[in-house]
Amino acid sequence: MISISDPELWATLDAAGLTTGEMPETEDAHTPWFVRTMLGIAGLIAAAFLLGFVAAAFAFVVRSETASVAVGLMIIVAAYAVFRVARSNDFTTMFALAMSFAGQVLLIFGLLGWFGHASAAEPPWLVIAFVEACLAAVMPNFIHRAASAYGAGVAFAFACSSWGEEAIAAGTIAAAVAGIWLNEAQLGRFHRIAGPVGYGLTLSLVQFEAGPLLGSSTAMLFGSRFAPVAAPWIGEALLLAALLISVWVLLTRAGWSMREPRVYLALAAAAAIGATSFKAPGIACGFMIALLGFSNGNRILTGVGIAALLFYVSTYYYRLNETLLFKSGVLLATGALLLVVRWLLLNVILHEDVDVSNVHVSKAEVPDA
Amino acid sequence: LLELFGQTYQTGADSWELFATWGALIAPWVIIGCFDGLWILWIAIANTALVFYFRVSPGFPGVVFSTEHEIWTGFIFNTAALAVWELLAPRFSWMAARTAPRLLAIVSGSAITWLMLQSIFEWRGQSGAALLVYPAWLGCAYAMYRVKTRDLLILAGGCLSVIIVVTTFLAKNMFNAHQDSGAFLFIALAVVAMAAAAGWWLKQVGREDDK
Repeated sequence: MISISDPELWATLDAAGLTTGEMPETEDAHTPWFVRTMLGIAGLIAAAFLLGFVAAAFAFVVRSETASVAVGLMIIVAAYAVFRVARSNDFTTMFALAMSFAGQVLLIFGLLGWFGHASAAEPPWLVIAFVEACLAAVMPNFIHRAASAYGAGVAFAFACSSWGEEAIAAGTIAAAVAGIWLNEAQLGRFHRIAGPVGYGLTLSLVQFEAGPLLGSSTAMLFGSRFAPVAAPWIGEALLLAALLISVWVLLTRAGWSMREPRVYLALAAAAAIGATSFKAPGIACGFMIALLGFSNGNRILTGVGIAALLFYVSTYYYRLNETLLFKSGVLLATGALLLVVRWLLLNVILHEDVDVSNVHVSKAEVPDA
Repeated sequence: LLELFGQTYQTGADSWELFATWGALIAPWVIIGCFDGLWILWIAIANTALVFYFRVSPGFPGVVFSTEHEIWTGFIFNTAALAVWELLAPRFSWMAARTAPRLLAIVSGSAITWLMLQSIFEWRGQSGAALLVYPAWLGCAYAMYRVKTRDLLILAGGCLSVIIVVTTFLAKNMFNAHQDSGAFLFIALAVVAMAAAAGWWLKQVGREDDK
């Protein structure tokens, strides 16, 4: 086995055009997701107290929208400088993160106040989405990039909702999520941006799709002034399209020829699963995220997709306005359908690739009817 | 069929019976299955039965504003399940995966952290037992997941719990005495310092695992 040091590996990847710039801190690259989550939550708590400090010590800042925007921008710029200057210092990095979160809240507060006074104007969600997208690209910190990408996705969804075009938000964010995760290897030189942005957008998509199930669309949350222009099913149709394109790309990468019938069978199975989203929103979204995570060997993404899928299905089932007898029948039919799909997968679709007789399936892995 | 059984009352009252029966019926299957995923399902069903036993309509607000007795029940059940899992894990290879004990530790840790916060705020005449149990829980978690074995996720959860408890304690006491901007800044810096120290420590522990 050939052993290669991190700098050598970086140099090889750089020569192949897959990376750019200096090698990142290995410490940062190896920080597990749950440590990042812990630091992100702590950053939000610290930001809340920093905001309290600004409100208590400089009351004029929160009384004036202009001052809020100006001070918010200054704090964000200062946080960027701290990130750049003391990247490897844990305390200053955490402080910069908290500062930036506080600055963003001030900025958004000021922008909402500004636009709120203009009678004909809509809430400035598109401006906020743009600011967050810029921060996701520029701020040299994983947690910040993921949080800003999430903020950009949510603000974009609010912007679309305020125009009555929620369907555009679902389709656009789903396309962005699929685009990033399908091209993760090709985006190697931008891995420091693509990874956290991918996670942030994925979380915003999961949240957006949960809205209708929880009985509150984003339009209702922020008081859209327009009735929805596009029917809700258009958003699910766009999501289904993103799912089918993802499946098609993955099948092509696996070397399946378009002439083979099993390709159409796989696409039909994906379409059938995704089509349930028209009645139970979110299934296409959760399925696509889990599929992308599985294909990339990304256990976090797979976990997010499966958790989202479980949430969407169980919430829809709980809210289903049918008799319990009917619901029991639905569960029975779902179990039977899953068994049929499993049989098709093992005996028809994967039959040529895998010798099924050699696959040991323990009792515990067999789904229960 | 279980759904029909659970429909004892049209109002949905006593629906805990549905989950309790469900848990009892699948228990033999879970025991002979020797599969951690089935145990996670069983523990989730048992927790749901517990929540429904205490209230008709659980939901998020219901769980958050549960009484001390209800949260203690959940804490004891999940902590006991975690202890049993960790005791038996070395003997059975199918228990080696860390998903189930981590989920149990998260539920157990969340419950005792919430009880501790209620004690700090003296919510609805708290008994104050959490003031004794919380440090003991932290000590046991440290001994188990830092000294005896390594589980960075549970240690990270413990760090977050400490940050939240200390922040709440500071906020309660400092804002009672001085309602000034200095208290806000001090607490913000304290949170940053605690998080930075926790992040640094967790990275050190993680590095030990890599060696």
